[in-house]
Amino acid sequence: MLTKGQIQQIDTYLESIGIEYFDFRHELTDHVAEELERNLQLRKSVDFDAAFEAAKAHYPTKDLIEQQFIAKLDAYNPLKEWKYFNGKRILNSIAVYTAAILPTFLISGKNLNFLLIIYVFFSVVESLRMIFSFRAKYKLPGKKLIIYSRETLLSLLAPFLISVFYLGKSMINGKFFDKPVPIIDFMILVFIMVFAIFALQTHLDYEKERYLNAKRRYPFLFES
Amino acid sequence: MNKKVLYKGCLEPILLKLLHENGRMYGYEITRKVKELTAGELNITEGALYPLLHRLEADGVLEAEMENIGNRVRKYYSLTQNGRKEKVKAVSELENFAQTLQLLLNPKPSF
Repeated sequence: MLTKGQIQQIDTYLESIGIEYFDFRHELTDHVAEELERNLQLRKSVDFDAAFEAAKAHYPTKDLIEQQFIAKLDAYNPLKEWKYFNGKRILNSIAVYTAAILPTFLISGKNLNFLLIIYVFFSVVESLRMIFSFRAKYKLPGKKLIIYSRETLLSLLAPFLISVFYLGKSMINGKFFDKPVPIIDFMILVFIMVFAIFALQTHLDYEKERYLNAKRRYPFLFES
Repeated sequence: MNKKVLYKGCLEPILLKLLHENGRMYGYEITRKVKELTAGELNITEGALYPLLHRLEADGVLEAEMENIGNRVRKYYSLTQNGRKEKVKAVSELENFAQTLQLLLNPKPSF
């Protein structure tokens, strides 16, 4: 049986060639370790270092990186994320959207522009609040995990960036305060913002599920 | 034709059948078992095996559990309830496929 130091040596090597996610790497470490143990048992004259060097040639870095990439793609399932966009949440989002566009019937002119600024500001602050409070509650484990990777979070910020871009562009052109924002633009931007906030909520629910799964599966990584 | 190409589509039913018969298995054990059963004819590489295991796990066909083995962590896979149904379906499809191939390769003489 390989020693703790030898297992660590395999793990460190795999990490050094770019196998950064622990939940993928530990399986490969076990695979390589078992193969080494068998080889060492069969050929008693060979020492660990020589067997390990031979094993490295057997596992090309390019193939391992490719496997890790596939594992990363497989770990994220958008259908699972959207299951949290349930009937209640859809109704809530419709209610919030209706309430948000109601002022278009009550106020007019440049006042809509100021309302839009308030909405963009509020939606950005609310989204950041949700993300930071989630991160404070569900702290990252010591090692990187595929099942808890957060690449998709960036895509959720896109709607806010679109809104900020729209406002920023109009302000830079100097037109924003000169003429009222078209009602259709207002309604579309509000829809994007409301949808984005609810999409972020569903995403965080899915993240929570992944976090709890990771904690159940790798409790030792979450011990402080 | 390359043997690997021929076996590629059969990997999933083979894997499901093995897990059905052995209860739970880990990656290296699966590669060894397949090699042993086929007398070295079929050699599943980890490049083909692990992505398949991970996909089946993500699809809810397999479930995994961790166990500390000496100085390392080992991931064991077993069939879920859905996986047992999938196994029956996949193996039956493979058997039908093998029969069809037999018909093509060794057609019965017509009288």
